[in-house]
Amino acid sequence: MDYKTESQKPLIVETRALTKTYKGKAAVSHLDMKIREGSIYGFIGRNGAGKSTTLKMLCGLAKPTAGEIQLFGKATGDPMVTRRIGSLIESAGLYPGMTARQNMIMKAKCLGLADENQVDRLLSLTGLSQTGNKKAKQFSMGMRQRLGIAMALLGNPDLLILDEPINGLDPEGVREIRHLILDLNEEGKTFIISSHILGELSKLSSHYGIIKDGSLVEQISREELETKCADYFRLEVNDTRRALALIEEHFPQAKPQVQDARTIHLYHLEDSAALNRLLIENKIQIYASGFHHMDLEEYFLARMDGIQNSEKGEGKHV
Amino acid sequence: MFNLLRMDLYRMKRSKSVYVSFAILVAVTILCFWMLWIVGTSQGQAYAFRSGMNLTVTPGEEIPQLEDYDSLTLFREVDMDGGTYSIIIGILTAIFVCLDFNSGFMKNIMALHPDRWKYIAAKMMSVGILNIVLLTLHFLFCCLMNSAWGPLVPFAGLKDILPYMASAWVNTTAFSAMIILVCMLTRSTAAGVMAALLLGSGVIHTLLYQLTSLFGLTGWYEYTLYYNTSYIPASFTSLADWKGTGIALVYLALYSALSMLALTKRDI
Repeated sequence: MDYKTESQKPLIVETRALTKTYKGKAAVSHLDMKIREGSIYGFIGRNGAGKSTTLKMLCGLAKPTAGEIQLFGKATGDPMVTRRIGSLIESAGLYPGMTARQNMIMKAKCLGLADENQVDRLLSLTGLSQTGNKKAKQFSMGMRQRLGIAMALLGNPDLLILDEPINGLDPEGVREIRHLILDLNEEGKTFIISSHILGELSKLSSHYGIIKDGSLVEQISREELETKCADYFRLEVNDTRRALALIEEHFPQAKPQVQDARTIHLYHLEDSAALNRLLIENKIQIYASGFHHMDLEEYFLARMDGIQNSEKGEGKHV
Repeated sequence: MFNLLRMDLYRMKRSKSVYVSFAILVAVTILCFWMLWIVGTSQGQAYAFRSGMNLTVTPGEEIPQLEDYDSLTLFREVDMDGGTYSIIIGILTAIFVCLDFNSGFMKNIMALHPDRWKYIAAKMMSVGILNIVLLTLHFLFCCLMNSAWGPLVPFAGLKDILPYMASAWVNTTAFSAMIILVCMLTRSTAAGVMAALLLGSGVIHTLLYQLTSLFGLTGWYEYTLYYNTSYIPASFTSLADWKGTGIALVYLALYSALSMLALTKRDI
């Protein structure tokens, strides 16, 4: 399950058989995660897949039911380790009656930082230095997220765990945060980012972890993903049932996957002209056909569907 | 732990609820002293009759009860013995502690301080500091009011004031510790406020007392924080006078330990 690239870099995060159960139901099950120094790890999964629970366990907010977590080569709870981690979990925790600066000072005091220059520098870095006396309760969702990121950066942590950091940000804000993350990554900081905005995540991440029903189904590097996201043939027809039967009979290696009532994806098709001919000869109307390149979102969905299909025993997966 | 304490004190200084609570204490004190002046002094009675108020005292007659009073007794009667102060410090504690959960800031704290006992210890200390500040300011304001209205009663000596204030501080801090425990168990401001109202006012105690007295079981009442806050001795002459304070210290330790346990057992 673990990727082999950049194996010379030290492991920042390593979990072994990490499990968390709530009332007997596993939210996270035997999760083995490996994240190396300097990577941006995109953590992907559907709602309720176990992303936030995993991140909470990494941050020490939730206690694992079983398994082990190693951060920077040490067990969680080590004071020297916790200071090296900055986190934004689910939402920015802000005191509503306080200003951005006061919230930052609160976090700085919690860290034991005496230097308030860092607070001002981070507010400026996240575009919040002009908020003045405006209270956090009056902030927009985007401003709250920016402040959450600024607070996560306090104390200059080496590992940043960001759960849905770009939620509620406008396009300009998303771009600014992306550049900020990439700049900080250039400086050597490691990121774990969970997000549903896969298009944005694909612009950032060097590695991905896909979680489903609490289990990590795949860990993959950006390069490996590129290879796996090979071209596929997209076919839109009037009768997917008959078309599928013909494809399975004449192109058994094509690995077809029905997307909806009129769309089929074929992942290993060599002769598209022959397929078109076959369908026309069999009076199947073709609305559209052609090769496409999968993006992260399509890969993720195909991976999820593939798992679902294989669980059902249909055997049609990527 | 001291980082957390510094953080809490920084927030307290900026917390509107602290100032609102003190304003309520001030308002209650002013009202009480004004009423005592009305019924307890000849000038006040004359003013009351001129203003058309109905008083059950004869004009010009001093209220005999006030003859036994001093500034400490007045302070107790105004807010302490009836439970008003306990309710206020309890509500303040509930708002202050539960905001950590409600705002989500708790995640920031717990991610940095995995030893959760430090959080409870810091909260106990910050609430204790707030309590001593409010008690002192409140007492000084009562003294100021006493001077302003006459003085209505003679000032108490330090030998009576200091032990009383120490005992009141321990009792009300233990009460706050109980509210912190309620907050750790429920993580709900509403539950904390309700607990402060019901337990601080003695409603629960009175009901239970009436119920248990039917079976002749009333001894427990003396071991409650409500009783010990209401009946702090007027003067401390023997070790037995410190019994209530000792009971409160036991409660303080017990509630602190249970709060730590409650916080440790649950995820954030």
